[in-house]
Amino acid sequence: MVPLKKIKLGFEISTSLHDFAVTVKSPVIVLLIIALTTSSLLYISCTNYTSIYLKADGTVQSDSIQKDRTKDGSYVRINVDKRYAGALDKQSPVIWYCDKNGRRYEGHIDSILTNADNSSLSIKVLLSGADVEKEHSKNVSLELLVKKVRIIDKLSMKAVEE
Amino acid sequence: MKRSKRWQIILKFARPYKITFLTLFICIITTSFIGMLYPYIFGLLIDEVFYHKNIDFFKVIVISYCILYLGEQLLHLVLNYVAAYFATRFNFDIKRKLYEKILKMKAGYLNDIQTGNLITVINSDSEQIYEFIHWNVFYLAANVLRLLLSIVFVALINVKLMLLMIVVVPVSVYVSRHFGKIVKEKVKLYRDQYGKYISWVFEILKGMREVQLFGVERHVTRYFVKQCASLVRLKRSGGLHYRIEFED
Repeated sequence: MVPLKKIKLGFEISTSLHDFAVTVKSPVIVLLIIALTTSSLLYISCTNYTSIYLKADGTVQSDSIQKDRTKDGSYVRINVDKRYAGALDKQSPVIWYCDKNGRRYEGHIDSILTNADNSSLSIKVLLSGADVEKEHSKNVSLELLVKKVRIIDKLSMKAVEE
Repeated sequence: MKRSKRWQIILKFARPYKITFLTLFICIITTSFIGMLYPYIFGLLIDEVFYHKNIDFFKVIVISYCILYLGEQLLHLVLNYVAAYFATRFNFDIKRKLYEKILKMKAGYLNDIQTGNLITVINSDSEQIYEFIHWNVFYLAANVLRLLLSIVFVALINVKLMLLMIVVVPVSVYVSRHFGKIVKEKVKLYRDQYGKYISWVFEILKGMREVQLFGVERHVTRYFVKQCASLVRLKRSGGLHYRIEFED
């Protein structure tokens, strides 16, 4: 009887260079795929930009004379850190809402002033009177587009910003 | 047999396939990790594109998603190749060793042995070691990694939720282990009964001429159906009530 140890399997499940030499004999192809995927994602996140937003809460106030006449004139005044001074201007988009899960509305920055203590900015955001009337609450949350950053930077600061 | 002894046996068979093990392990861990990134990317998509109306970001997200998907699928491809290679060679080694053991068994033992049961041991039970390594060792490690990453992600969102998660996870593990023990007992019972059943089938097939000679086909068929039905019931319920009564 032929000793069993002498008997070879007699076939290979993978015979081509691609199947056998690369994938089975060593993990090189696996490491290559991982490296390629990671470097592609890193490249995308380092060369593309996204926006970061500043969140603040405020109360809707009204300019009574203007409101009587035009139904507009509602505004929110918020204070933000002075480090955003260069990043904000009157064209910066603003979104506001009362309920976190509720409807979003657009607002417009009317003025950006430096507070007396010189450490913060006072921003006046105009809201549409028609939009304000749709909501029952006077307490609103605002999100201001601050600046554009690389995606990789955004991902690393996401937890801090939010 | 002691647990350490069992591990020694497994390691002895696994040693020649160290590289294959490593490749398989890297593939499983990486694909699990990539699987965890999809919800995160989807969250980014919702935040940026739908919530902040940042349409430019949509293109970036889609490309990133495609790259990840492609990478994952390539890794799955390699994983399947490696798993097939590993399973074939590894199981062959075990089967060969088992066969060698059987050949060296004492004649008295071989005389009393149930043929069907022995065939099941060589053909089916021998593959359980591979199944154990693949699913219980590798995928357990991958799931532990997923759990740890999930805890980190949840902690970034809400610390209280993370604490709740840490409390709930051991309960879930305990419940799984409890039911795992019950299932293990039931599987063992089924396996014992199946061994007896398949041995009986082999004996009947071997003596089919006698069965026809004595005209007991109906009796044998009825008994065969009865055993099959009992096995199905046992498999479905795992209860002891359906234990098969074998004729001497």
